[in-house]
Amino acid sequence: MKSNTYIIIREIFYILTIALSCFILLEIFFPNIVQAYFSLNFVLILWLISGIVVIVAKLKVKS
Amino acid sequence: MIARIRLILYSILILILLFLIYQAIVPFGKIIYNVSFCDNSFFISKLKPKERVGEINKLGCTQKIIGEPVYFNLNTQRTFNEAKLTLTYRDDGGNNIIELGLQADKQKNYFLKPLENKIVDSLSWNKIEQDGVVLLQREQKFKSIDEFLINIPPREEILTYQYNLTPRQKIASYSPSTQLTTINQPLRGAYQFYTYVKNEPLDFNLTFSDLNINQGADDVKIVVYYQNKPITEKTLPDARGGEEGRQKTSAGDFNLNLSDLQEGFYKIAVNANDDVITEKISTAQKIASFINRIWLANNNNEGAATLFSDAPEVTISTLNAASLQTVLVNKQELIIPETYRQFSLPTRQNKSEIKIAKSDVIISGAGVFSFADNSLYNPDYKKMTKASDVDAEKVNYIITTYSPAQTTGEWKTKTVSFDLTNAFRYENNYNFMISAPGLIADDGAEDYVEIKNIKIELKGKTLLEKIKENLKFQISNVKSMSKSKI
Repeated sequence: MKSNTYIIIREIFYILTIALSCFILLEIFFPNIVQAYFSLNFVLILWLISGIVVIVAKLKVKS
Repeated sequence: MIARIRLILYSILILILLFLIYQAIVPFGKIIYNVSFCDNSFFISKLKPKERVGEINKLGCTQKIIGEPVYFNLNTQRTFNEAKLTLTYRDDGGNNIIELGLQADKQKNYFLKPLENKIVDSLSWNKIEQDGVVLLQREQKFKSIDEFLINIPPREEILTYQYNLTPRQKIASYSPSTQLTTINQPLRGAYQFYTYVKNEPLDFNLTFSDLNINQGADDVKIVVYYQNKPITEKTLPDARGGEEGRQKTSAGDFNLNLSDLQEGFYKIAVNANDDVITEKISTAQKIASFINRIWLANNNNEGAATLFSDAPEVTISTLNAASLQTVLVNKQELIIPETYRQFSLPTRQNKSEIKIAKSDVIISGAGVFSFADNSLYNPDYKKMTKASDVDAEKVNYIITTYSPAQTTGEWKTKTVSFDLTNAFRYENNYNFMISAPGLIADDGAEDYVEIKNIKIELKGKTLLEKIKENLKFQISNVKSMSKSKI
């Protein structure tokens, strides 16, 4: 069960990494098109939190 | 397990990305933006400046405009060809004219379209409509608009609104002037004026000086137009090259001499910034009628100026506290008690005399201004303004493209179309303006225009059309390059 939660959080982290990269690329080609709908800062915070959780979960799974 | 999670998450991401790309590219060339004032739309900005709008009414999601003009931007990722703006609004009933504008150029000129004209709406005259043009007659004399245009009545009897009636081409009893006329009153900044040529050269000598207050080069560009087409363009470059030492310097003389010209009206546009002063204008021409606005520059109050005008309403303002005064318009007093505010007086006469005691004032009106009685002549037909009074001005005909707004309860809805291909676009923004002449913030009056909703329908080329166009351009480029190599 613990391992399943870790997998879900890890996948969320991966998808947020890809999403963030895509959004930044979109913002370069079409300025403000992402920001018109949601804040990139919000996505960045989510990505950071998921990253930290993945590291913590990985450590716990290993221990 | 992992495959299922990935499928869900990646599908969500792909859908979000497709939606964002669709919004940016608009592949089918059509999109609608709709905003009320409770929404925080990225595409349609809030009304500005803040000083001219009231607080947002959160109950009805409306906002009042208390001073005009107010502006809003439309942010689009790509260009479009046409915009249909639908505005839902109401007002206190005191605004005779409400208009919507689209910024046309960098100089902040706007294409204006009518939202509401209470002067036209209140008339119960005979009405003929033909191809979007409306002719209103006090008493029916013409059976069609074509008949009216062929047998055009005297200028004094006609009022135009959002319709360009072909200006008068010739003055029947004109004879060239035998003497040189000099306008010694200095003029500040840009201005335009009409002159008339008949068997004579067009001869103007303009003397300029530069106040050197603002940054940037103070070049002067003079363009001569005949029947709205530029025929000559000359530039007087700023010799000091943009240096601003706050010392007034001479900017030189400019001689405009054109011969073998056809008989008719010529428009001369002097394009300059507010640092440039036209100290003196000497001309052999009889007519020099300044169009819509002139700024009488500070001449250290060496004598008063008398102007003549055909404007139905004269508006005067000043930025200089030393120029506060009482202006006499047809012997009626127009008090200028404050700087940075416009003060108006309806004249409703075909020729008015304006006596100004102190210079450094800006005079404007929907007509022409001259420094001598016999040099006043306006080839254009009279335009309707917020102060127009068809009875007092003895107007018998109104020609317009205006159609009234739809009324639902106390709210009115009007759709206005704009051609975006000639519009000014800056940093992905089209700029719009809502104008209600006479609506002034902080004037103590309870007048307003309240906006409920702004809907913008945009039409442009589809992605396929853009690709085809680009391919054609590339192919023609390759062809021309290969031809030049051969």
